[in-house]
Amino acid sequence: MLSCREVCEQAQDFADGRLGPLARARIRLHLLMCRNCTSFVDQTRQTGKLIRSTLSRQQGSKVSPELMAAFRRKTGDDATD
Amino acid sequence: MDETDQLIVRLKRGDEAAFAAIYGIHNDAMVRLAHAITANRASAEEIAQDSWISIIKGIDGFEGRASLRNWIFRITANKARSRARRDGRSRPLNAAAHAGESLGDRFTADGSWAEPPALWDEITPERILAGRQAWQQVLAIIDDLPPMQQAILSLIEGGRMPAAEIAALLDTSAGNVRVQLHRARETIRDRIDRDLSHERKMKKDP
Repeated sequence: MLSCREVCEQAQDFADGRLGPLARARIRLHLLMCRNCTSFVDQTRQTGKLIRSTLSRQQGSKVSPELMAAFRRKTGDDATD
Repeated sequence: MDETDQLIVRLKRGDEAAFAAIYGIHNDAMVRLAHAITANRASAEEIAQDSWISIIKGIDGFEGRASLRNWIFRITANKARSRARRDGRSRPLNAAAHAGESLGDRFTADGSWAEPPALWDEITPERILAGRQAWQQVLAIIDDLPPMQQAILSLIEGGRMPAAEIAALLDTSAGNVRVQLHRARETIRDRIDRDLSHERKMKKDP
């Protein structure tokens, strides 16, 4: 039987679906009997979601006017070639 | 033709919306990558800007043999490396694993819980942190991580880049990329857990 510590060390791989069937089964068995580790695995899953939604918010940054001007200049150059 | 191919064609045609889109998707990760290589946040912003100039200049010659994403990040990594060399900075070694070692003090010697985790299932962090905007709190935690972990997190979780590609950019092994990712996520989970426990205590006896 896995210890709580062993379960938590594998929690990310478990949540990511990176474990083999046997390792997965051993963790599931432990989780059936352990409320704390169930909370921990749940926290790990929620953390992943929070990280992804936070980083996708970061993906909206705007191009500076200088950079857009450089992009426009480049296109303009091509047009006059 | 997939979405990226179309984006490349539009970029080559000078489509400003396409440029704004690709900038929005990658710029944050580029800054974090440059920061990880140079250990300097201010020059990281400059390197990202400079990379975009090179991307604008080079897009016509880009033939799509590598993915656009890979090409963009290789330009950034190369610029960051020459900048680090010029500034006489060698890349910082992975700061000893102070982050992510938080699991250590939560268990007794036999591996059972000494300090059990707070329950997140009754009240989700999104709900608890809603008033303070969960993402701002998570962003502050990410910005506190060692730069190498920030870059890896941003490339994997934000950009879905495979560990092997990131390893090549950062001149390290895919195994190390996974270890750093693991530490970054665990640090964030632990900080949220502590923040939530603290907030609950304040609610109970303010």
